[in-house]
Amino acid sequence: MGITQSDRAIAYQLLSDILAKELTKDGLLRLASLGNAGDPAGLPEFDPLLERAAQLAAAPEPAARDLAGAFAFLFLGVGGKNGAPPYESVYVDERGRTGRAPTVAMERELSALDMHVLKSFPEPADHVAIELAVAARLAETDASNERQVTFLKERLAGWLPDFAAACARGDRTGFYASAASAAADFVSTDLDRLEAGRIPAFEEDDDA
Amino acid sequence: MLDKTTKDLRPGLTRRGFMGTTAAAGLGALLGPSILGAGAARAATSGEFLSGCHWGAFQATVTDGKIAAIRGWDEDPAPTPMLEGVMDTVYSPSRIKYPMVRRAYLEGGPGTSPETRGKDDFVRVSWDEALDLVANEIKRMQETYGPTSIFSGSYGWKSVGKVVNSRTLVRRCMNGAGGFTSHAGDYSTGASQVIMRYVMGTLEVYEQQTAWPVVVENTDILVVWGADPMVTNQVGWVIPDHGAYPGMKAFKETGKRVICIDPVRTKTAEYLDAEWIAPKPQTDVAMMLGMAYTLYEEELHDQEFLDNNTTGFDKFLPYLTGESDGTPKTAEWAAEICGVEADVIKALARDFAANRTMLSSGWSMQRMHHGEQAHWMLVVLASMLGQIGLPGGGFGLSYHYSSGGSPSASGPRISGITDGGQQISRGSASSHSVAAAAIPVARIVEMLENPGGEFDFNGKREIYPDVKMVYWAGGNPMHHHQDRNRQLKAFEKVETFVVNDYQWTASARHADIVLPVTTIFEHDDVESYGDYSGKGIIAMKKMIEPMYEARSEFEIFADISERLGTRAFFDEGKDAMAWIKGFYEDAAKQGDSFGIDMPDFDGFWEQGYVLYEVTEEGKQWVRHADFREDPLLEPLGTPSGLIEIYSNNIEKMGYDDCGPHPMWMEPTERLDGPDAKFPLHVTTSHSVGRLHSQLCGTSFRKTYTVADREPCVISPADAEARGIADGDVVRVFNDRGQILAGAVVSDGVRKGVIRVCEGGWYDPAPGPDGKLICAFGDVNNLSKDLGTSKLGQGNCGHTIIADVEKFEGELPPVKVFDAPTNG
Repeated sequence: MGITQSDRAIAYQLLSDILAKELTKDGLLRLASLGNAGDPAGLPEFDPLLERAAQLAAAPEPAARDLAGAFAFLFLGVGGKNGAPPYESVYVDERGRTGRAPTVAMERELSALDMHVLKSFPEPADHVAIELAVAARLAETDASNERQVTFLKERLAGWLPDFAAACARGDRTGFYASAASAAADFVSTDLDRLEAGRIPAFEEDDDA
Repeated sequence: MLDKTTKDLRPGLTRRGFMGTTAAAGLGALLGPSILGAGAARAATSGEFLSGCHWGAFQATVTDGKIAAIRGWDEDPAPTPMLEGVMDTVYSPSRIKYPMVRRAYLEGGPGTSPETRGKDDFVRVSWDEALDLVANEIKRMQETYGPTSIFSGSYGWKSVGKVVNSRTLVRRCMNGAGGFTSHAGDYSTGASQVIMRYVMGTLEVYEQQTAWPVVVENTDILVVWGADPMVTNQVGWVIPDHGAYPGMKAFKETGKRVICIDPVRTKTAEYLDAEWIAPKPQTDVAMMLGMAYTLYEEELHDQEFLDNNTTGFDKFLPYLTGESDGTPKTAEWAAEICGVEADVIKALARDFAANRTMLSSGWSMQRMHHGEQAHWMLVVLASMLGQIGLPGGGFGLSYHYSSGGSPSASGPRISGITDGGQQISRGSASSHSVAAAAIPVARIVEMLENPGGEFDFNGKREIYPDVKMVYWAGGNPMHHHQDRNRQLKAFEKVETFVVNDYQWTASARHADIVLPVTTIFEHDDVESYGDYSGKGIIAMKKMIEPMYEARSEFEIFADISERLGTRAFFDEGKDAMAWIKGFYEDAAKQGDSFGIDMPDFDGFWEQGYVLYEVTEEGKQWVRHADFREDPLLEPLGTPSGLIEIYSNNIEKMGYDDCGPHPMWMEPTERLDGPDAKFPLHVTTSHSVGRLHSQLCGTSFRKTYTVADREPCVISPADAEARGIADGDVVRVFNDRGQILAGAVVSDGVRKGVIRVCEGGWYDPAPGPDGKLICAFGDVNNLSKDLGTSKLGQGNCGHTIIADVEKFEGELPPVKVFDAPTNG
């Protein structure tokens, strides 16, 4: 059974949701339930993440607040240089600043898609969660392979490995390290897949 | 109908996804709320903006809602390269983005495991939750312990602006709530600003200096004693006009003599091609006494000036000659202490007397044990030379600060928001209801360690309050205070520590509640241009939207006040813009009396600034000229109306560490001093690339760091003796703490002295001995937390001896700065 655009969209959206904000306890439990449901589409990149989520959720007291602490440490500046700023600009600007060329490029990308970042998510447009959400949107709308390949190459593929490495160094929970690693690995294999040929929109029509 | 902006645009999970139908159906709305909405965003602002900051007035180019570039204003004769770093503060990954609470505090409440501050997790909370926590804690403190339990004498270099003025706003909020414990004085000039009021009747340290054109024309010898004006004038308390730079340039062009007396060959010494005389640190008073003795012995002193304009020289003389204590303060005596040859001391005294000499001094010499004596003795020396009040002669305590001596303009100054009147009303519930309303600013740790304990300050004996809550806005005490390890321990007493900032400073990292505030680029404000020169008013326009959830401190404190039921007191029913307009219009009304046609507010805001003419009087101004001319009609603000070489008021205090006339007293520790435990002095100058600790969190620090750490300048002899090479990582240590730094081997520092500039961000890591070490190089891990004396109680940030060694262990990474590791 091959992967569909819909599968890809859900995979990107899932990663976006995980990296956008701290997971609630319910969110963690839901994520853990995915791991329990097995891996029918064969996306091994997600295995460590789902395993880790299941472990955290199985703790006597689900570790949502541990994750919130790790999230703040990595992504909200608390960890200092041991953190992992979730912005593409930081990884490409020679002075390590936010709000540089990738932010502008992402703003244009969003405009082209007739979308915008909601006020409830006051982050620069090159935040990893926004880039992943756009990848999800491109898959969801069945954009051309060329369009999707261009976006993934120009935006996510270049910096995600560095971002994942930073998460691996600074994440005491292992959860965000797995999530960032899943994102980097998924983009890499996904690019291969897209470049190999056409991906069906959906496995079957389930609009009921 | 679905709201276009809130419709969830994410892939629909009713479709069968790779996770399988069962699992996907259980996901519902995925894992969190949507972050993208339909419809393109409104075009963001683009354009050119004029604004200002501590580093000067600047033009910013804003493109698509982001600052693309900033450059010095065309009116600025010497824009500082640090402006680059100022821009980076906005876009630094070290910004505080959301309200944050230390996890243990959130879970356990006030006072929970304070020993884990700095190590504990932080978690994000909503603004409402954060403000409720803060407001409820203020209420609890006021009701349970009374106002003295809250210290919000928040100190530091808050951002410029007359309305969004952190330090004032936190006090205004607390005054509305019932009061607070405040502070007196500052870290810059704690000793001098107290002693000078007895000696000169004014602060002197924050007063306009004889104008640079007068110095250029009349001064034969410019002495720069313990200061580096080329470095420190880059910044100003308001928006600096940088007027000192044309002054120094013009002086340089005359080719006249400049003498820098400093353990370090400063940038100023290099720029002005100065003679460099390097005494041992903390011995300036002895060196001055040696000069004074020479003047007296060789009858080079100006008895007429001493008779007409000073009082008490006769009582000082027995000390100088040794009649009173058996020790004549000869140049030879001084040479033994300060390490400058007696012949040099004598020659300087003779040259000063024979030429028009300006003794300009920085503040470092008073930021050390017995610091009151230094500027007092400088005034006595200048009085004996008799040139005070003459064009280009005398002394000056502010040529290095905010461009003192930049000629003044004539025009109205703009005022700003106040702290709201009565500083404190003591609550009946206070356990120490007689506690001091304000403590000397640098005694905060002693205050935390000794609730209810007595302390001396400026002739009074007072009682330390029992502080349980600290609210800091616009400062970074975990940089500016001395003896970091002692400080961190003392702060464990505090039940609630709130910090407002825009970046994760060490203080924010050690707080319980952290609130993200806007930078000057993200809110409207207004500020004066030219600290001493008063050249105009600049509109500080908001040019980009607040990033993340940062909010203006005016709004933050208004909302806290709302929760306390004191909003009307706090904002008087006006928003920040209404306050800005009001202050401008008050200034504009005064325009007539200056003969200036001021634009109305809208015209001013549109133009972005109003500038006044520098007057001929401003260019020719001579400090203390009137007093010199007629001390009876133009008396000083001292009890005698004269310069007080001997102070009866200080005599009455009977202090053992500050007598009635200036004298040499051994500091508690010094290079080659009695029982010196360590062989090197650590001098803590100001960095060329920071304003204290500000900008250390930006990549601008890479312009000066060595091995990613704060530089440690060391003489070739001291380096060689320790096997230290240029670029090595070194460990600097004493009994109080230890830091890592990057060695700079240079003949620009005196043997026996190393320099580690103050303001490096504290970055604790486990050291080789198991104790904490600062991995970046915050020199206040080494300094002594001690009052200068019972009189001034200033800090002693320059009172440090230590040793240094090449660091051979495994290097702890510098992790305090948020920066890409694989960038």
